[in-house]
Amino acid sequence: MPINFDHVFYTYSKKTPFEQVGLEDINLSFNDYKFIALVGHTGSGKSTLVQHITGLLLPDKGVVHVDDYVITPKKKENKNIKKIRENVGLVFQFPEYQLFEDTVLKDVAFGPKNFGVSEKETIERAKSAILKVGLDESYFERSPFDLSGGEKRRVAIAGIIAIKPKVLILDEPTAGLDPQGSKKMMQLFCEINKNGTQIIMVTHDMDLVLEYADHVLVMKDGKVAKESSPLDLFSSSDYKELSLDYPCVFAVATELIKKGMKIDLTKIKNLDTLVEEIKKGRDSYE
Amino acid sequence: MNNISIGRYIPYNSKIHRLDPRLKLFSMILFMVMIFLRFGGAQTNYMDFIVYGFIAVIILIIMAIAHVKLSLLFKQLKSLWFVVLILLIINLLMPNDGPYFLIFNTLKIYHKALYDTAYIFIRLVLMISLTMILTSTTTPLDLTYAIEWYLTPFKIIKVPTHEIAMTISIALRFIPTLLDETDRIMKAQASRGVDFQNGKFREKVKAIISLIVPLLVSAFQRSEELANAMEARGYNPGAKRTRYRILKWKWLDTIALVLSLSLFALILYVSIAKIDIVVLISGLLG
Repeated sequence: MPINFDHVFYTYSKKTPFEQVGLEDINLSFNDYKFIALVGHTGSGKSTLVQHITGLLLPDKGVVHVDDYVITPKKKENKNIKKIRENVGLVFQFPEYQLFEDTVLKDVAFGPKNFGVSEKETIERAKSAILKVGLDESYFERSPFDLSGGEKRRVAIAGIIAIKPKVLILDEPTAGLDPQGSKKMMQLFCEINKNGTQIIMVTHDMDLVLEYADHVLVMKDGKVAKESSPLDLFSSSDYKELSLDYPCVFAVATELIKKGMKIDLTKIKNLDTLVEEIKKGRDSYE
Repeated sequence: MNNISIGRYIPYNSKIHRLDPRLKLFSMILFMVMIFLRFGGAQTNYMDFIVYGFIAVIILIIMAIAHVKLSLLFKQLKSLWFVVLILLIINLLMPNDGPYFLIFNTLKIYHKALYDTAYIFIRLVLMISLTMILTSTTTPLDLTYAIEWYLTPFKIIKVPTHEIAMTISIALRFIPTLLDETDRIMKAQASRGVDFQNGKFREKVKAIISLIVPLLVSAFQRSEELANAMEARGYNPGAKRTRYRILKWKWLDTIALVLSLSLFALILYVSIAKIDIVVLISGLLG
């Protein structure tokens, strides 16, 4: 679904001593990519940017186009925001805090019900969403407050997936999860992505960026500092100036290349591919 | 939601900011008493307004010194019009005598009703601006230190002053945190199709529930975490403790104290002696 930013400005707590720049002249287009990663330091405007896509924040200046809908600075002009939110699902950081119903099934069904999906389909969607995130039928009637942190997060994400958005925005979905849980979570998103849902993910984890994203946006002080494919970003010479980390596997590979090993950087996505490349490189080395 | 700057500390380094919180609290109480005095004789009522005008000028000067913007006050007054409306209706319905005028030839509008409304409204505005000066120039923590200091004499009759002060300071500390949390949960639920502004009564109730339940859950969780953290660091309410910030009385404080006491004495004298400025001036002239 086409998402475009046209000269968007946003300032927090305008005209008070707490004034802070949120976004500064953002021009973007999210059309051509399937999995977009949004990186940058805390306070660089990543979350502000994604909140503009669903109209949770209205720009001070400029326009955001989402599909055929338009988000403008004037509150009264934005009648279609609910439609946008049905098409663009936003999972906040630590989404487990948004659970409130007495059973998991009811909580997951809350979203679709709000968007006017019929009773029967709502239940169906909720059930399949819960199964999709890796929980089984026994969870349907349990209270969300009795679950563990990781399970709660799955339920919360199921609550958004059940809406069946065309674009899924994830704000640090793996924060605070153990490596195993985080991997499972990413596999889930990958699957959703393959089924045709565009994903925009805010993250600090560069390894995730390298492995999953086909496009990266680097935010800095409310502006887009760089926009490219992950590989181009990490191998560009001015990447260091952004003071961001390198992905672990990428750092290992570049060190090995410096030492004279032949490694194809484009093939390295994660630990497994790195190991494979090293094996190949070792053979050619000898 | 993110524009709640009312009653919030505004960091500047003005003379008012640097005053001792104990003095600021005391002066505010003096000003409050002044506002609640009655002025002039029983027949004349313009004296009230003259004195209020005088107090308002002084408050304006203090606001200017303290960098408290008038626009902030107006923002707060905007939410007050409803109170004023109710006041006006009650005053109009009260049985009255004295001069009146008619509207629509049937409704008697007594001059006194309008006068009373204006009188109460001015008092309200003055009080609000006073408390605003106090809260925007004094950190909540300093304020609790001041309250604790004033409560010290009650220690003799076994009032748990320290516990009271600690409770207040924790409550104050968590107001912004809870506001942020509210904002976050509202946004998360809005992404799930909740409309907090429009909708039928039933939908509105549901919307509020979807906000309040997660908010309460996280508040309880936070309090438990805080209690654990305090215990882990050996907190003992009965123990004698030193503190990081020690209140120090300075010259500026003495000057401010003398100023506010003399102003108080002057206003008190005007009130008790029932001085009428118009009579006084015409007496002097004649």
